[in-house]
Amino acid sequence: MKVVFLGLCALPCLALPARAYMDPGTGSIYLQLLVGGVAGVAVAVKMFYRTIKSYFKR
Amino acid sequence: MKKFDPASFKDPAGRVFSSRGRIFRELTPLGEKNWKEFRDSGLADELVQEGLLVKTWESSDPAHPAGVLIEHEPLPISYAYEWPPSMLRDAALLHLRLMERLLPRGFILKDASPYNVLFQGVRPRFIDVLSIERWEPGDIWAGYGSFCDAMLYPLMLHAYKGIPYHDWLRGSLNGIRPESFAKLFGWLDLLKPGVLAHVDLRARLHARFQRPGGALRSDVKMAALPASAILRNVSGLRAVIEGLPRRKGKPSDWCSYPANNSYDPAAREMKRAFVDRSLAQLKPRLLWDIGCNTGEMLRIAARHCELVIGLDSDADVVDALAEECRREGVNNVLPLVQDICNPSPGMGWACAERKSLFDRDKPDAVMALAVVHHLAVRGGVPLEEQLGLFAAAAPHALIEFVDRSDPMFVELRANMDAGQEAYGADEFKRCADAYFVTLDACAAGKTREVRLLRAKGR
Repeated sequence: MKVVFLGLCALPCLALPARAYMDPGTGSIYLQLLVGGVAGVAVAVKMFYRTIKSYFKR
Repeated sequence: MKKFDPASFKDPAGRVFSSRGRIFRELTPLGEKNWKEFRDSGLADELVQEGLLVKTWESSDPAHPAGVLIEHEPLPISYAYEWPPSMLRDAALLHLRLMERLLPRGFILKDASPYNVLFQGVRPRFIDVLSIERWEPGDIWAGYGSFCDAMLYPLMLHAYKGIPYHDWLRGSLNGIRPESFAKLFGWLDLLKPGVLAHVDLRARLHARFQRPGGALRSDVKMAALPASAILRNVSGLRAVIEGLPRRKGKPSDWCSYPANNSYDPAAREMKRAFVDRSLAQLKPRLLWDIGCNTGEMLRIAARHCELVIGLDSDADVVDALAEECRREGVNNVLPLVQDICNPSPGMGWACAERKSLFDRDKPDAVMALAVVHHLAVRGGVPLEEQLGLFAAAAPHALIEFVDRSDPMFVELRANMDAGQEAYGADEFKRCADAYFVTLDACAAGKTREVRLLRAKGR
């Protein structure tokens, strides 16, 4: 849980247009990944991996 | 020019207006696209049939023949800060049920707000069809946060802390922020279902990440968050809400009032018969029962009305009435927590987004049985003000006067040295004659009188 949490904290801000008319809040998005079971945590890990990859590609 | 409902300006997909008692929703191009996708999926009809969605159909507007206009079945206005706990719980579960029905078919609720729900009797109906839009892999549930703030947290406040949420929701229309709410919970509370994740951790994450969530949302989209992750959260929320215990502490004394009062059985029977007879004669479309308690007289009244709105300041008795209506399948009673000494005001933008109690559908009659002495003694409201308000609220009134010699009045006033000296049978007669014409009357025992009244000039 701690690893996932740290991973989530290190995520980058990749730019894609968001289509919300209300801001869901960064904290609430992270929490949705955490309570989303295996699938949610897998997405968090994927995002974390992308961050690392993009760091070394710079 | 049509006047749009002041509560519908936020949605870029469309706006609501009413015309001659009918409710329409004018769609923008975005709203039209969303609605057509939803309609063509067949899901709209299914959800209406299942009683989850308000009855909705396409209509026409001579002023805009080309555009799509949708029409809804009109429902009485009520707000989350007026619902007893079981009704707020049902509104929250309705949101979760909709998410469970929508996501597998490629749709989602784009937000979550108790103001998107109205009640048909005690059955919740989702009214904002434009909140339903296409879901694409990676989209998160943007309404999760507001679901917690405005529905989950008030329910937890009631169930875990024994604190009524009505004043909190009335104070903040968007609900309770996690940063504030988490402060109410200690370490042991973290063991209670839902508190660790949805309250404590959410509050910590909000404190840590204070920037808006748009950019992160795009990241999640790129990582293709699957629907199963959202559904997992939804089922977790459902388990928390369904498992919430009943409020801490004993129910209010008013729940036992029907079995514990100063009526003798014959007087009570006379009162019941008079209420039955009077309302059979009036047949009001909409009746307000002010101080409805657990609804003994309200249920008699409901036989003769299209809709009865029961108002009482005690959330426990209103909840008991809602439970009974649900159990017995009564569909023309709407029980609301409402203190008539401090009724719901106009709130939100321009004080018009949420309507005051008196700016809604006007009742054809008000019923106030054995209430005037409470309003006088506890509320400090003189009879003159009370009867003036009842006469302004509706063309007819059914009012029970309780004399100062009645044991209930004596008990209420036992700890008071002064106040309401003018209260009495003569003052009641004077005020009733000033504002009303008495159509019929009945003595319910030696100290009580019920009058059927018609407001003067109406």
